[in-house]
Amino acid sequence: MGARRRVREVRPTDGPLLEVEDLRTYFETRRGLVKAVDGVSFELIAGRTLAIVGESGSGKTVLSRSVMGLLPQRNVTREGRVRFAGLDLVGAPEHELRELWGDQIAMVFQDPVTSLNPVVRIGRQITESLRHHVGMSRSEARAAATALLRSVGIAEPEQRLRWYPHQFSGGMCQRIVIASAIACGPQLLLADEPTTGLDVTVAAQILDLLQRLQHERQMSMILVSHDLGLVAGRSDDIIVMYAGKVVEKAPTATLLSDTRMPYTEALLRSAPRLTDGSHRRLPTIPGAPPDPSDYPAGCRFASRCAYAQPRCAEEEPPLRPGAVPEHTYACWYPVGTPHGAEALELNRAGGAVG
Amino acid sequence: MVALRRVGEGLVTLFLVALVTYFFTSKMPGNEAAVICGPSGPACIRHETALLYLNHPFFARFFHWLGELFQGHLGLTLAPPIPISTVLLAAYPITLELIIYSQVIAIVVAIPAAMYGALRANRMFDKVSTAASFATLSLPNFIVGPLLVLIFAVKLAWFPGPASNVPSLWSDPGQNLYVMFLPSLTLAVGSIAVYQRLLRADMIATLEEDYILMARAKGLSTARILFRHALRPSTFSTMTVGGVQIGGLIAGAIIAETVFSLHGLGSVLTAAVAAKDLPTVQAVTIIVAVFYILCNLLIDFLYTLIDPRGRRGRRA
Amino acid sequence: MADERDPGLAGDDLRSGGGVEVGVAGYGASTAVLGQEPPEARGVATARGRALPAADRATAVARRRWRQLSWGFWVATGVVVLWILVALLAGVLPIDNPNNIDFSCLASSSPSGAHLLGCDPAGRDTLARVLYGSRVSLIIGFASIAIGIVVGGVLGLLAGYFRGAIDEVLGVVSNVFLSFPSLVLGLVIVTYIGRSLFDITLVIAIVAWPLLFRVVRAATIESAQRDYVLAAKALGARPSRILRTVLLSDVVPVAITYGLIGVALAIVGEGALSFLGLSVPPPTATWGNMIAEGANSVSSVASSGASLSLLLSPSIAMFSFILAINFMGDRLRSVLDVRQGVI
Repeated sequence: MGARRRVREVRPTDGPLLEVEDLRTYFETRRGLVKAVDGVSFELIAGRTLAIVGESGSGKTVLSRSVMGLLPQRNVTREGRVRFAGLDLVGAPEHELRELWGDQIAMVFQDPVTSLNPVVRIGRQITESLRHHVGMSRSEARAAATALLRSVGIAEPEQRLRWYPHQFSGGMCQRIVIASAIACGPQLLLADEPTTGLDVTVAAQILDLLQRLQHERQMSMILVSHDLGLVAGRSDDIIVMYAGKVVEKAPTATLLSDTRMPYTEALLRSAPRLTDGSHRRLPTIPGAPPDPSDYPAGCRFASRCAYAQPRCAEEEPPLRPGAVPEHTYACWYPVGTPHGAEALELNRAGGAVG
Repeated sequence: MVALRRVGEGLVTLFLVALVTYFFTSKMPGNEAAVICGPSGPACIRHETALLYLNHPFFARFFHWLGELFQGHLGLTLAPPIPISTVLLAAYPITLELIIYSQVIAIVVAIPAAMYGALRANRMFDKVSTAASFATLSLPNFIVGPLLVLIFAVKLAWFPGPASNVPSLWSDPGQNLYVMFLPSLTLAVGSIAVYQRLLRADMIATLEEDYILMARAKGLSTARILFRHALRPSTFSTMTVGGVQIGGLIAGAIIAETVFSLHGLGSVLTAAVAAKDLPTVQAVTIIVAVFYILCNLLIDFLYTLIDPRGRRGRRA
Repeated sequence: MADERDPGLAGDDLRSGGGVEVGVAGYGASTAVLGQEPPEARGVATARGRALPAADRATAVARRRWRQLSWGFWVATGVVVLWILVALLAGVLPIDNPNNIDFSCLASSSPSGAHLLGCDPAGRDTLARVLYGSRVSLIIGFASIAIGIVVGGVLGLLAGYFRGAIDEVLGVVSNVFLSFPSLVLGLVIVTYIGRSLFDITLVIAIVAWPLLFRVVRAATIESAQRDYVLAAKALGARPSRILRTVLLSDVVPVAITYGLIGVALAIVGEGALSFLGLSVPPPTATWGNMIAEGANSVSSVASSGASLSLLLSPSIAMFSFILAINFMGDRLRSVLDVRQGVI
């Protein structure tokens, strides 16, 4: 990919590629202080995929942007610690972050069609970060872009470079967005609901593509999604978020087999399964997430939880370890424990749950 | 295909414009021939009447006139009888320069102002510049012009005032641009306000777009994002108005030429109207209308260049 | 997207640029773009507005909107009303006759106790001339737009409701008028018609009607596609009834809002003609010809307090009136949800 003249050489570290510790991201709005991300911690080992799952409004998109530092310039507070490859990202001025953005950390956004500038040829949109970060010449960048387009599965890449975004379908646009995101060979790729507006088959292709690229390029990836079923087969670890907090975190297999948090259970149940009958009504989670500017005391999921007991509304459950040390969850009456079964039984008897 | 239709519509409009112009300017009170001949005898009047097709029906006269127009025969001014084409050729560079110069000034001022305002929307600079634009839009250029003269020519004496000698742009560009600065600024003030408002509003909308966030995520600098990604999609309204602005600019040029005693098309037209010099009024009107329609066609064309989708049209 | 927002305008003629043609009347400063909002925001707003049933829109929404008018709107209204009063009552105000020549003022023409704003080079009182000058501006401004609204409005309603041939013909006609820069058209018609107060009113009305025609036509087309108009049609209401009742209530606010801005543009237009010495002939005082006199005397060597006052007084008078009207129009437009793209 040509000689690289990077402004900042990121040194490889032995520890995790990304360490997030007690990250908080608050927005000042007219309605009050919106606590979109409210104390989130996690680690990401190089080469692995982490999925962040939650309903819309749970703060997962803000979390992914906050990790990167890609936030509005005003009325935002971002506190805590984000260490990426040994660099501290919180408190770093934006011009320093910019050297990492697009180069070491890249992002794929939700809507591929609106993420591409409609009046700029895709060739330039793909090559601009190469020219900016790597300092490639025009022809070098064009050659690189051709290779990138080919690697994301776009035929006749030389000609397509001259096309405008509206000449491509949504799925093709997302491939282009991905190509431009991975152009500089980032170590970390954040994909924020990369398949939302796409057909199911196209969505699967895009996720497969991301997975393949991740293996080929040995990237780490954070995959944000509202669909636990979609990320289940494509991630090493999963974080479940609710109301700005991590409520359960585990290696994917553990999370699916040994679910502890009632919210995770509810998310799993609301996904359709092949084994279900054709007209089976899917269980939904009653109610709506709490107002992010005014969280209730105690567990934030309590009001919608089938297991909730009086204690849940008073005391906030801390994250505690499960059966394996990598598994943590925040619940007083966890699923699959005698405590939890008892609480559920109690609620059923009281008629609170049907 | 669409372009062809536009051109066709333009031609039809042009023809009708010519017809209307001729209609208005040929049925003037007072026989044209009599005005030309003045105290000369009936022989002169007969001669001129035949020459000008005055004894023919309206449409015959009109087509005769149109035919002459196509061959570049614009006729003679009333007094002294000079070929109108000579007068116009001498006058048009001033007007054209005024218009182009003013737009350069307007763009140079308005784009940075709008960008900065949009970037820090609703903060001090933005509020002040937006209010200033609003006020400026209520300031007709026949007020702006004299005020500029008062401040920059009379009081501060930074620039030459009215009736200054304008050297040719080609022989002495520095002096020419210096002398033409205040007249052009007179026209530019209104344009700055219009462009600032439109660009700022569109720019604020554009900056909310996902592709701007994506450009940020690529690590591009703010300046690069603004100029490479945000500017072009934010110019649609401005372009649309730009076409109509040209009409306002022609009007503004008439005013500015009067304020600064410049000898452009505007002063030719005002003098002709005051002297009831119909052939000249006809000629200037037609030329201005042609220019105006051509500019609008050009802008339609530019529009498709700027917006590759071509579906936003000019009515976004 | 464009078609969704602006159904009637699809396939329109040469220059159906949104919200734009009003600028043509802006002899210079195009006031058309006052209150431009981002296009996306506009689209959403109207899409929502259209979804509301008619009756609700008319009452609850309107009442809430009137309350949204800021104090600035009422100040602007006050300024406009004040100028209207001045124009009406200039004869009974304790000021000089505007054409009276005070020879003592010729020598020392600077502002003084006897002549608060000084005199012009002919020894006439500047204050009196500014106040009397409002008459020409206001009469021509309001009268020409009134004519323009009646003519353009009726034609616009007919064209917008019936479409078809009448719409085509009127479209071409208005287009031809709009193909001239407005001041040029004004000058040509002045040559043809003349320069009395009535003539100039007529001239401005001729320049203005195509714009008002466009506004009303577009508003009518949009209104005619609303559900309640379709319902009235389906119930068999006669066109005359639909036009009179349902459509008028939709179209009148649009016409009035644009008419208000039209008044400002008309006054600017008259001012431009006046400034060029081609409006109402002297000795009648107009703001435009006073500004021209002021400009002349300011740039001549012997500039003094009097010439400064002669330039600034009518300029400030005109500016205050136009700014106030534009402000009113801008607020009304945002409150009545009359969108920019309606033309």
